[in-house]
Amino acid sequence: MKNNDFQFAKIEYIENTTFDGSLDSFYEKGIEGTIRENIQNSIDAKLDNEEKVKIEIVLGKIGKSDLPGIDEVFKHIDSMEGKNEYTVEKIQYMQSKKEENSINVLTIEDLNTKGLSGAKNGQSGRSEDTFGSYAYRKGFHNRNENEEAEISRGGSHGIGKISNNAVSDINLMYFANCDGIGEKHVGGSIHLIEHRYEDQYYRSTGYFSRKNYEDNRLYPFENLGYSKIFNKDNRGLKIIIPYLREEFTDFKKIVQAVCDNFFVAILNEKVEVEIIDKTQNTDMVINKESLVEIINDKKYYENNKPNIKKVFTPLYVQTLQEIGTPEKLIVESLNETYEFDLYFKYDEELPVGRVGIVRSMGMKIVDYKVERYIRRPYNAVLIGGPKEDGFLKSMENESHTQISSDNIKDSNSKKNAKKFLRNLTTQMQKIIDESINRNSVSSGELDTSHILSELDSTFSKNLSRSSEKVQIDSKTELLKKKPKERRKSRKGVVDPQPGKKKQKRIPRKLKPGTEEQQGYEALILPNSSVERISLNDKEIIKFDFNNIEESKNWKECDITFVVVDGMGQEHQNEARLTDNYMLIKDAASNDTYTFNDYKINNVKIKNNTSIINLIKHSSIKDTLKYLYKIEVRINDL
Amino acid sequence: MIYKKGASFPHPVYYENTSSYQEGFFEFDVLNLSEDKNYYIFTFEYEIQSKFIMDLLRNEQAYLNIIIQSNDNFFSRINYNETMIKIPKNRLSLNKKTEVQLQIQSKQEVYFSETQELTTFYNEFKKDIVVPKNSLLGFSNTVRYDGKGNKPLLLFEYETDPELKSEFKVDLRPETIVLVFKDEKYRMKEFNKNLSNMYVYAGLSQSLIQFINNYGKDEEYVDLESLSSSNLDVLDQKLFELLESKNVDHISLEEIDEIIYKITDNIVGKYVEAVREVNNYEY
Repeated sequence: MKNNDFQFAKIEYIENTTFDGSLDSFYEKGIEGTIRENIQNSIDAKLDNEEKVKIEIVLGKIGKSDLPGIDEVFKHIDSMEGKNEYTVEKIQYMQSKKEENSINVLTIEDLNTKGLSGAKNGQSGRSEDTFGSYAYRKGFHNRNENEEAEISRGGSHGIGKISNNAVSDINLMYFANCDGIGEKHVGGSIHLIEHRYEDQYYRSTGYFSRKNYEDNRLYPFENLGYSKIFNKDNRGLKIIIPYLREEFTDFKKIVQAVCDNFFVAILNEKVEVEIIDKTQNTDMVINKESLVEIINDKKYYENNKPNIKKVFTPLYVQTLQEIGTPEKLIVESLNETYEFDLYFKYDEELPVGRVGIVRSMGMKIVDYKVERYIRRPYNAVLIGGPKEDGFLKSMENESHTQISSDNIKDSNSKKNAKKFLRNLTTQMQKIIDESINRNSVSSGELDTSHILSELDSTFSKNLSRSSEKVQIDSKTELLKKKPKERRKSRKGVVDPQPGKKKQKRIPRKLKPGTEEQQGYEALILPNSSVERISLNDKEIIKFDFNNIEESKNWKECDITFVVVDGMGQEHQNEARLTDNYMLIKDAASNDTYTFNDYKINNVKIKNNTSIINLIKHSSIKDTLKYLYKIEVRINDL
Repeated sequence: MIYKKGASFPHPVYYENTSSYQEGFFEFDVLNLSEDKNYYIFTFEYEIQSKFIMDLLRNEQAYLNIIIQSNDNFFSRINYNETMIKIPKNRLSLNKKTEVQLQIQSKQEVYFSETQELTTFYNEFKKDIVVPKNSLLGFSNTVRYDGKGNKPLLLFEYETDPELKSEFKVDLRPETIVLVFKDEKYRMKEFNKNLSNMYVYAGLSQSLIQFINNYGKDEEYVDLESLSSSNLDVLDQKLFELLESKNVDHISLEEIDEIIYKITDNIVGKYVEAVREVNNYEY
């Protein structure tokens, strides 16, 4: 068993011959991605007893021999075989680096931070061993025990680590760790493609590590005997990126990346960054004081306000310094309320307006554009707390540069996020609106009703559930009675008896006027108390007096046929019974009843029911609709 | 005519709480009213729980009619599975007193001998019942129009700003379209309102273009049916509702003028009329 410096997992056969997609997306962000990832992690790793996190970024050169396992690495690089043009080109590029001897290197070191823990346990898979997950896992990060701190942690996705590999020409990175008990270890990783080397197929990722063949796990090397660049004497983590792409060895870009992303953390004195370029003999410390100088330095930033359209850092810093006390901005989502500090400044010289949304640990997430007010003269900085950080994190994309609901999979969370963003936009619009100096002399609503209108489409259902409208109608005249009708509304009560729905029948009582005439009680039977059918030779009508309280003792009554016309109007004298019927008989007793055009006299009521047969003159059907007025002599009690 | 109050019919009639059927459920609801240039468009739904009646409709033994009663009566036969009807605007004037109802009318003679749905009294005689054609067989609840016809829209505001760098400017704000004039005189407020239509046209044009740019996703086209209206700001919401109420289902950059024509009431014609009027005025 060979004791290799780099361990690649063995596989049965090659499936995938492309490089990890994240490498390209981080590469596109330039050095900024690497700077963000590492400083973010460092701030999160701050020791409780330290005030400020100190970071040292060094650009320099090393010799090939300073890099442990480098020959082994190139052997693996040489054995890669790409299947598409793009991969082939990339592999050729990596292979071309083999002959370089003076190699660009970038180191990013934090001083007096937590560092990684559990190095001795290697690839344990346990969440407490932050060394193991940092060194050996892709797409994984540990949860901090303190939930609030966890939520505020800048990093997430765990994919950010690969940003270090992305800026190396051969996708190689190393790191050196010094933990709380002074133990020092080194590690590293390289991202290739699946390849075949010495008759064995290997996975794309290789780890700078030793393998324990007893438990088949990886364990880190102790930091002993390596070149000076691996020195890590104080507690913390140091990243070493060899073969740094030439275009990233730009001192200025590193300064800008630090300032653009961490100006809040720097102004709050949470972090201080020293950048050293050994090749140019340049050195800069970025802290609260020097930040202000840097943003005013034409070498680094455009300062002429009307020209500031892409990089807003100088404006953000200025806004923060000028606005002493921020205003509170409360934004609601569907379920929650979020509170932010808003530093807002209106400035007529600015051609475009942005809101720098910043996480509470001090890293800027995005230059947020406010809909409809993208080109308005203002600048703002928005900072929340741990709760807000957590929510914003859910809306961030992988590289932490944009917030939207697009990045959310779950549909309820998506709706929630959309609502939040809509409310955030509306509130910002209001604030911007209020601050705009409008010189309006007169203003008001413009009446456009002659050319613009909207059809009002409100409808309401009238469920005729037996609600006869209550009306006062003084027109109807009773025979011998002074009419003062008062109609009660009929209320339907469902009888629990099976079969037919029974309704409590409240008939329309026609109250007599003040002049008391010789006793007639009159009412109009509710429709549901009458059943009527027209057959060829006769019509049969059944009057049901059950459930009509007043009728308990009635023995006989007069029935008037009240015609109801098409418009719902009632006519007491319009019926033409004599024209239609030659005879009207009681269905049970066969007694004949006398009648005129509209009234039948003395109809017998037996067992609360009357059924009459109306014998037709001819087979002509009476198609009129009727209501039936019942009159009972009061003495009939 | 619309049937409302109960009254006795000479044959079984199906409606809510009818005493001639054991169960009476005929519910009708208007879901939406919109318009285009020439028609009012009603979308509705109904439910009849009587199998007997539904069979008559499906077998084309009975008609389904819709009756709209306002100042006059509008009546139309509809297919029993219809859910929409278009009524020419000159046949209907929507005012507060509009009511709508569905009715069922016999197309030919109807016999009741096979149905089990009648109540006892009618069931006894059902073999002898013959309902002639064109008789009323049933009616639904009424639906009342509660709208005020056309409601005005607060879409435009005006402002006068002497510092303005042009004579006129359209300012699209989150809730309204603001027409800004450098001087009061440009507003022409003392003249016929229609002389200002050109400003309104410019405002509509710009706000619709921005609407398409916001929601068109690079295609310069927005399908309104697939747009969720819950995340629009107030101005876009107003535009969206206006477009929907005029039955516009999609908008694109090439069709901006057609859309303005659809959603306004002769904005160009009225402007020209107003100009002619001014021209003809003799002092």
